Amino acid sequence: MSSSVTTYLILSAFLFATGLFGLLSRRNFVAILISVELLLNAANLNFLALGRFLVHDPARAQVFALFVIGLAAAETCVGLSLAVLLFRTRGSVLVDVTGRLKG
Amino acid sequence: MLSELSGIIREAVFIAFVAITAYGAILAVTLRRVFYNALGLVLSLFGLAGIYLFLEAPYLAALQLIVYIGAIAILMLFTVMLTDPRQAQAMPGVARLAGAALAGILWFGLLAVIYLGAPVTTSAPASAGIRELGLLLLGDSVLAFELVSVALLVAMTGAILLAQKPEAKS
Repeated sequence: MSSSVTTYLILSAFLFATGLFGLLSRRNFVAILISVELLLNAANLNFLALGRFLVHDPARAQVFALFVIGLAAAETCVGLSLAVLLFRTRGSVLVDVTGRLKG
Repeated sequence: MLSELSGIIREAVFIAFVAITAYGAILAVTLRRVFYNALGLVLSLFGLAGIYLFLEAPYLAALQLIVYIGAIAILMLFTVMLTDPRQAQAMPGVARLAGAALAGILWFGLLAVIYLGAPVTTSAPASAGIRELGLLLLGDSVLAFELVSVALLVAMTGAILLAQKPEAKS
């Protein structure tokens, strides 16, 4: 099982579907960011599995995954500080309560 | 490390990591309280780090533990504590149902694509050493590497600016 690309692809598809469900069904801003992390990790798993089994260029796949991790860190950084700011100015991090973006 | 394990034990460890990843992902989106969601995310990311070991990517596995669990997840836990942890209600039923339906459609669509469209590979899987990774990172893709560095710097500066207390600005 650990040497078949299908296993990794199925797990990645599961992670992506779970993340999409979380993205659409949560109201809390931080919970939505958690779902986005799941989506990004599904993409990373696909990069690594396909790079190893299909494309036979694992080093390049790992570099790609590395960049995804770096950009995910940047995204989380800004997103979480936005959540703190949102909570300080609006008193809530629920996206439908704080939905109006105009100041 | 993992190549020394014998066949059955290796498969058992792999299945355990897959189960941990899937279970953590489910916990991360279904539990009501955001704090527990973040802990579920930690579980899922830990399982993924184990799976990266099976994909012969030990450097990525270590980075996954350090960056995701060590930094991102901890940051999320702190943010949950800084914001109101009780505000964790799910969307109203309609949106939740629509989300579940869309995710289900996507899940079965991806499964169909995987089973119908995936080419069968007969050649042996390839693996890359950490040396090749470093040479590629600072050779071919050095421009992207520097851009990611700048993006991280800008994001951190922006995060500091955004989260500053209003009275500290003036």
